[in-house]
Amino acid sequence: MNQIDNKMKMISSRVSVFFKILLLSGLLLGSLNTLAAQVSQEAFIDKMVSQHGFDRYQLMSLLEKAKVKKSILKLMYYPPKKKRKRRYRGKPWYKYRRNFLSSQSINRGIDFWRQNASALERAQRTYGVPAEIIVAIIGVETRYGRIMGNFRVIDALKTLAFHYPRRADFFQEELEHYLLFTLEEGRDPLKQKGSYAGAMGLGQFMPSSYRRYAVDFDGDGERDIWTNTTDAIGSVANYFRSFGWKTGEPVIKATQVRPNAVESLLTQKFNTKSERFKPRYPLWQLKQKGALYHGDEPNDMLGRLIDLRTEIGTAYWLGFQNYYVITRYNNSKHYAMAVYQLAQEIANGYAESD
Amino acid sequence: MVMQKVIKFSLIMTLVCGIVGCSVAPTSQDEVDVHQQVPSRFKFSSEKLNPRTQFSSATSEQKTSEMAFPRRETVASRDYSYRMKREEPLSPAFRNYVERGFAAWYGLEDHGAKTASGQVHDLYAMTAAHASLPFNTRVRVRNLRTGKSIVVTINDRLYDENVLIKLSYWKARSLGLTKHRSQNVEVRVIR
Repeated sequence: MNQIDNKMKMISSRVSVFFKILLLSGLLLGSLNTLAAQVSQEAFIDKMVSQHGFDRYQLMSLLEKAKVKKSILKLMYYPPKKKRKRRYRGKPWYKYRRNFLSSQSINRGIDFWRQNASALERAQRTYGVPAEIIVAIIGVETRYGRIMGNFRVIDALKTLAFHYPRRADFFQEELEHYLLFTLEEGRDPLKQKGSYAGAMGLGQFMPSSYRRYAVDFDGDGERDIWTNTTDAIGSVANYFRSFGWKTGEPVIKATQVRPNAVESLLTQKFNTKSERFKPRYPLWQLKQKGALYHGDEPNDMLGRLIDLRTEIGTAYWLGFQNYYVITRYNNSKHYAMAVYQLAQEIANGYAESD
Repeated sequence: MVMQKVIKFSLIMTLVCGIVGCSVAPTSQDEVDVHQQVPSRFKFSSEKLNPRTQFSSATSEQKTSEMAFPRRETVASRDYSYRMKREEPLSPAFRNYVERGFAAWYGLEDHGAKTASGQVHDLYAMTAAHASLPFNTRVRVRNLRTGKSIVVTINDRLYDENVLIKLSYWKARSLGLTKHRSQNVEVRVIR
């Protein structure tokens, strides 16, 4: 009997030890996350102080005032590959399209064009970017300024820079740019509003994009992309020009593909994820590999095959340099196509109303 | 031997005649009636004529030489400006054009195909095919069942007596044609 008792005691003690370890590790893991955030925040403040001469205590109190938003982390949540279910795989193109190409958004785009006709015309002349593309970008990003985001930018950037490890580097850089931008422009860092990722204004510029590409297009001495549509239009056009928009070249053209060549054409090598839609092969090579393209473009033009699921089946397009430039705004083939098609519809409607 | 040569010669002659016969087809894009100008010996039914190659602004001599000696063209030598812009104003015959009839639409197999105007057909494009209206004419197409209307640009030729206009898939769908059997539309030139 004693032996059995002893054994039982042994087991129970082992179990309790096991649980204790489990509990401790849980606590540790929980605290580790906050600890990591604290450490990276300290490092960030150090960097800002040493590199840009910020006042340490002011910066600390500023970041103290910013809140960590759980809702933002929920919006950014993207499950790991194993857990990814159907709804995370993304909508097919024909469903995605409905969000941006309703008759309402087309008509509002035509109105926006009419209201800002002179600024758009000037932007087209200065930067070589068609007016309809600028209108479509502003339409897709903020519904022509109706939805510019209701998060405080400082909250969004603090949350994502220190509590979202997947893209911490990117958002720490953006936070750095944001602090510098508020300093340069004399704006209150606690009052700027933006999207849950920290994008601001009519064209949804990230702070780094604002500092690099925003322009004062009406010459009033201020780069205001929140309320001044002229500056917003000029800034979007400048952004496209800076990323290599080629005036007069097509964006995307329909093509046919030999069925057995689809796979090899779609899985062409790309260097990094951000260059997924960069045209890397000249037309003659694409044609050789099985693209049955009937357009008039010169054979040395670079293109890339794009496949989209339409209502009646998968259709193929060749995206050119300008298509790639649109994906610099948002790295998605659906996004770029929606912008292009919205632009076409708006241009058609605008020409008709003239 | 002699017989064979005679047969060969006659074959070649008929071929040449056929080519010349084809090339007599009207060069202007605006003309519709192909059959009157083609000698009766070489009269084809409308299905056999290829609408993609039939109308082009190339002269008949160019056409013949192309067909006889197919050669690779250099891109720089081609002039596509006529495809992009119609400089002359719309002829008065078409200015007040209004007609009612049946509508058809392109399928997925036409996506990426070359139209008679030289543009590539896109299933989301705002374009349509018509039998007689000049290219780049903008027309308003109205669904007579629902009253909804859209604006499209003519960029292709159509050879079907039963169909008045052939729309791109997306435009037909947004007019509500693809889901119903009634496909009566009204076509009106707007510019």
